[in-house]
Amino acid sequence: MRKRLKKATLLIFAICLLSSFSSVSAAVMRSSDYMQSYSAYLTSKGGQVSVYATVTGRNNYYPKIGTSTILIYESTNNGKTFSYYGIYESEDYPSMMGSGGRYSQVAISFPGTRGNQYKATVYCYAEDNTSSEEIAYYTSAITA
Amino acid sequence: MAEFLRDPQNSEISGTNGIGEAEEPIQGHAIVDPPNNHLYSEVLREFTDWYFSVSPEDFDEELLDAYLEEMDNLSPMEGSFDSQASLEKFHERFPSLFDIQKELYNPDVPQSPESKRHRHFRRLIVIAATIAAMIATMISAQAFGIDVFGFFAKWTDDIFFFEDGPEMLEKSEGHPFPEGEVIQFETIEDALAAFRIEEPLAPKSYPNGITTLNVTGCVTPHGIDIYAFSDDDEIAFKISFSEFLAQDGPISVIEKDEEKTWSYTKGTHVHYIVVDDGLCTATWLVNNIQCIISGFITQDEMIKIIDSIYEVV
Repeated sequence: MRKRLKKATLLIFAICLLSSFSSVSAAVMRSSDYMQSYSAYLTSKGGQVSVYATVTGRNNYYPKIGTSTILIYESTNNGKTFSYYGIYESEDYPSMMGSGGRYSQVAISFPGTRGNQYKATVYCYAEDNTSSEEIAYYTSAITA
Repeated sequence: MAEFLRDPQNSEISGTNGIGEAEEPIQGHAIVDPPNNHLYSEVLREFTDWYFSVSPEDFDEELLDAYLEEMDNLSPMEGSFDSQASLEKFHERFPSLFDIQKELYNPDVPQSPESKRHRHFRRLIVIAATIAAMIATMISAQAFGIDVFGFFAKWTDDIFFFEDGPEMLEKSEGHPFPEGEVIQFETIEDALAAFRIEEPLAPKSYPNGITTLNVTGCVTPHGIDIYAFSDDDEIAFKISFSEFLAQDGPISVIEKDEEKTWSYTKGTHVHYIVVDDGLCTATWLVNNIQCIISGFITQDEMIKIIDSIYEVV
């Protein structure tokens, strides 16, 4: 009985110790020399799905700041698996990229299928006179 | 069949407990009738005398069989051995050995008061150490910026973000502007008032050199989004207030370097301060609004700005 109590106590301690160190979520990957903060999310209204992204640069001026690419993924089985749905690139959709500022808000919409889930990988982008940088942001899934 | 001498002396098959008298056999032989016991002893003695004195060339197998048959007639072997009964008899024969063992391992045997105290003390130490460790992990979690009772602030060497949080949050009731419309404001206070935000969010003190801010507000699918930038390039000051949905939580990711993350508590709010290669950023949550202030300023200057938010004029 005492041995069991001791083992249970140590197990609880180990769980508490491990739970205090949280792991990084899958939202973002790496640091940036150009961007101060960024975010992206999806919304749905009447089956129409929209992707919103906000990118803020470190400095006040960037010739280009916004999103270079947005990949859309779709799930037809309640989010168990996702498959590639479509791609939006700033070359094709100029509104995805701002210029001359520090802050960019991007919004694109596409028709989704009601009941299906969608999520996106948004590549946040900033460019100055010397170089550029791109960071992937993974959104949560929403149901159209 | 040879005749056997009868000798009542001695019994070769019974043992003693080393203390007292010879006792009945433990195993192998049934208790014989008293008259046959003596006769058996005689036959046994004769047999052993013959067996140990006979030479190999004079060995008579028939005589051997006769001896064994006679002894079996006088003290028949049991048809089968009962090992459990034999073990019980063994315990009865040597009780002192088993009594010592029982005393050593029997929890019902009263322990000395001193050993009892030691056991209680050891148990208390284990429990106290466990509780202390649990509290220490919570404190360290708090020191690391993990709000164990609300949204979880998380960070690595590169980024800072909030995750999870309480299920119910105070929801803003409608917005005075249509979704998508972008409105310019003179000051942050004007923007907050226009969007009916009553909590103290606007600083009253700014870094030296910041005189004006370009303030813009709009309504997104997530709610209110107010952001203000300074014109200068040296400090590159920025403030933003972004509403988030309860089910998503605050979604902004803030860049940082490997410097430690500080937490500064003012009133009921915990403000997290990170640095990214000279760019200092503070972020905190007020209901369902994530507030972010950033600029190329020092941590002390950032704390001054935060303090000014809560100053009562």
